[in-house]
Amino acid sequence: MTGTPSPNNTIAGGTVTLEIARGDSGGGKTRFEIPVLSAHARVLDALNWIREHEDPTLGFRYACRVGMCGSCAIVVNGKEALACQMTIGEIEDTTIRVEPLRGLPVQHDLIVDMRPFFAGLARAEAALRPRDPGRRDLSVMPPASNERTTIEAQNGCITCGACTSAIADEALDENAVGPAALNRLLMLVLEERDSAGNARLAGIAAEVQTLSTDAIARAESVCPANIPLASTLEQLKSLIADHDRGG
Amino acid sequence: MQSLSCDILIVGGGGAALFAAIHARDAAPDLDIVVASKGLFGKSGCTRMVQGGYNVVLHPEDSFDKHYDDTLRGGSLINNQELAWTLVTQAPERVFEMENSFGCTFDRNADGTIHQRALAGQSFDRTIHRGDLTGIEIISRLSEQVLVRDIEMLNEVRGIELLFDSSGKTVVGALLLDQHSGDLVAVESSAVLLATGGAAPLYRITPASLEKSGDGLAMAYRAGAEFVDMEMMQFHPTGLIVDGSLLNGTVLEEGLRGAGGHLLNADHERYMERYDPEKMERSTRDRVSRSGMMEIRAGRGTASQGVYLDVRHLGKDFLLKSSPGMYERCLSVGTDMATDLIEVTPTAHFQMGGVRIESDCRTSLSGLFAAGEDAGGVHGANRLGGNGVAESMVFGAIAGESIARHAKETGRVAIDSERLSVACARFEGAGEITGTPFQLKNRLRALAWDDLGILRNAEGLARTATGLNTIEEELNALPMPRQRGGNPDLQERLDAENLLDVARLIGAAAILREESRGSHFREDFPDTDDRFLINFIQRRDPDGTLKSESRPVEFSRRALETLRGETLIPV
Repeated sequence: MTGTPSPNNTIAGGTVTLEIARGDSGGGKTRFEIPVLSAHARVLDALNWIREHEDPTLGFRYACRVGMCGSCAIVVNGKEALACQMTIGEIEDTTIRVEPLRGLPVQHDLIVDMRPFFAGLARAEAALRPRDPGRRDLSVMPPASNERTTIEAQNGCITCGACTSAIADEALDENAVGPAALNRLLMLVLEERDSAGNARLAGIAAEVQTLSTDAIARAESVCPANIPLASTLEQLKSLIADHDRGG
Repeated sequence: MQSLSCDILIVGGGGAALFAAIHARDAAPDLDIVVASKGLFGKSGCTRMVQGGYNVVLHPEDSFDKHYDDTLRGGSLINNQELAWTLVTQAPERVFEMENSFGCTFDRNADGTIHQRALAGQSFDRTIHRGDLTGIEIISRLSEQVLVRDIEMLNEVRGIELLFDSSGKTVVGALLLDQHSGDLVAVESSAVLLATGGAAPLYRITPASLEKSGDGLAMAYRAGAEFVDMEMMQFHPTGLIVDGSLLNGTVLEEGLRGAGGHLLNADHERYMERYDPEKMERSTRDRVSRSGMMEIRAGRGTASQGVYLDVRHLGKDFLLKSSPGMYERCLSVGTDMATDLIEVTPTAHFQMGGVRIESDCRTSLSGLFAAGEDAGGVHGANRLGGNGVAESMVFGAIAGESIARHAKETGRVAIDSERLSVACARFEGAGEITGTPFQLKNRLRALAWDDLGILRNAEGLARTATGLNTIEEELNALPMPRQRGGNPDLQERLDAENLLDVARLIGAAAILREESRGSHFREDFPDTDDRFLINFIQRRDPDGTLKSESRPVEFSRRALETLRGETLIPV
């Protein structure tokens, strides 16, 4: 969850202008005046207001509306954000420009096809390969252990795709799995319950070397779950180097 | 129209659906499995939003018997005793699987053993959790296990109607609608599992994922399946009030009351004194919600029609440690729970009623299976916190194995083309997009909130029935739009139609239960009455009428006498 700054309380009762990139709308309206009904109203509320009052065809995606599902990631004034978490009052401009996530095919207005993003996770096989699937009790895992604290620091991804969007301009190999998958792989490599271990590193060595520090910092800066993606990359680099040395 | 053939069709994209898909895949590696999710798989539905945790007997001093009795007492004794026993006894297996096979990590004590706490209505600390955002851990790990298996995932494709074979008696597929392309998709399958989630968004205030509209329930109803306990809808006592925002009604977890949070009315009185002086705020969800609503209706609520949750005395350090997600959520709407009162409202949370199932998730219709919130009977008249996600995992897994077995036995059967044509015909529209369905759905939700909700009476239920007829007429009068793809207006209309079917089931059962039990409260019959140790079974007859009948509760594992008395709430 993002630490949302206190909203500007003066905005409630006023209006804002939303400019929506609607690539496929066939000339549909793209500029809307929206009343701000609450000091805590989200960008999602503004989009919903448009749908209910002005244009019922406006395409945007959401589900949980509390920052847990990652369905509503979009680009707000040039930066990735969850529409349900970003308060209108925290946006300084009077015109809010809203676009779909970058680097993923647009399906309808603000809705992108997430399949290429999920395909990265699938290609990376970013899922536990259990060491002991038949086990009928629970591992003793002291939370303060090195292993757990390192893994926990990386946990909490909601697969919203913001990181992928933030590095859409990078010239990455078409088989790149993306920051979310890299992060999950790091967790799995460190995970004692996983049987694949360091073998997971071989397939991503090239991507880890190619991904620039700037790019990963950009991805980290938009992550709504505050996952330290720069640290993900550093740790993977170091693990790969150790592995190459036969460590 | 597109056509698709597979062995197993799962409609739904939350925890029950994904668990079923994994278990079906592992049980039957040769079968073709298709999952159709209304939203993005693993992102729509409510498993992801689970906060409190998962009830499971792990501690040597706890026992299945204790968990079982808590569950039956919590359900005011009308649970299906076989289903509840299945829940309790299978819950540990699924936790072992989630941790050891899927890589979920639930919170540990400092020594590395599993941490368990108690939510309301439990006689032992048996809820495992991951902070106050347990669902993200569960659904993330389930989703990735689905991703690395050979399971065909249709995203943003919703269920429309169940389809039958030529006998008209066996479910052999479903008609789906691709919300982006607008294509109708006829899926032929050996069997169908409904795991779409319940219809809490029927109510104006709800924490549920708003794309949920009881689609599975409505499809099963129109197909003639039997329902049970449909009058039972759980309201959570502490939904966050955020006026003018979609965030309104999202839940602040029960752990805050469990840890000693107080509930105050607008006059700052701890009003639970009046309703449950012994257990106060730690009383069960049904009682606490009802008490809050009574305060509000009596004019002792806040200007926003709420009450206050006060956790200031618990201290900032404790709150940040025990409920960081809730702390953050409140802060994001301008409330610091360490220094401010939190304005809350009861909020429509969970549907106990649903399609009647056997312990293997079969329904009354051959070829149709149900799991999770689509199924009824496990929780009786009230669900304990922590038993909901356990139900989805336990019965999701069972459904996956059952449907795989069924599919291997029966093979694929052709869909009756005449019925398919009828189901498709109504979508051949030439109308314009009007925006009216949004208004109709909002009216429906307001109607249900006022008279079909926490406080019910004969007059209000009659008013609801009339109101539903009016809304139905207006819905039916809307021409079907020419544009099917990329049209939220059409989705809203289909949602409203499904919610309306569910509302009728709830209303018809609620009028018959002339007593108060669990989450069902009749102002005109405020007492619990032993004559109503029955379940209402409902179905739609082929001529379109809704039939309701009562069946006595089968006390197959616990005699009534042994269950009297109150559940202890640990302090």
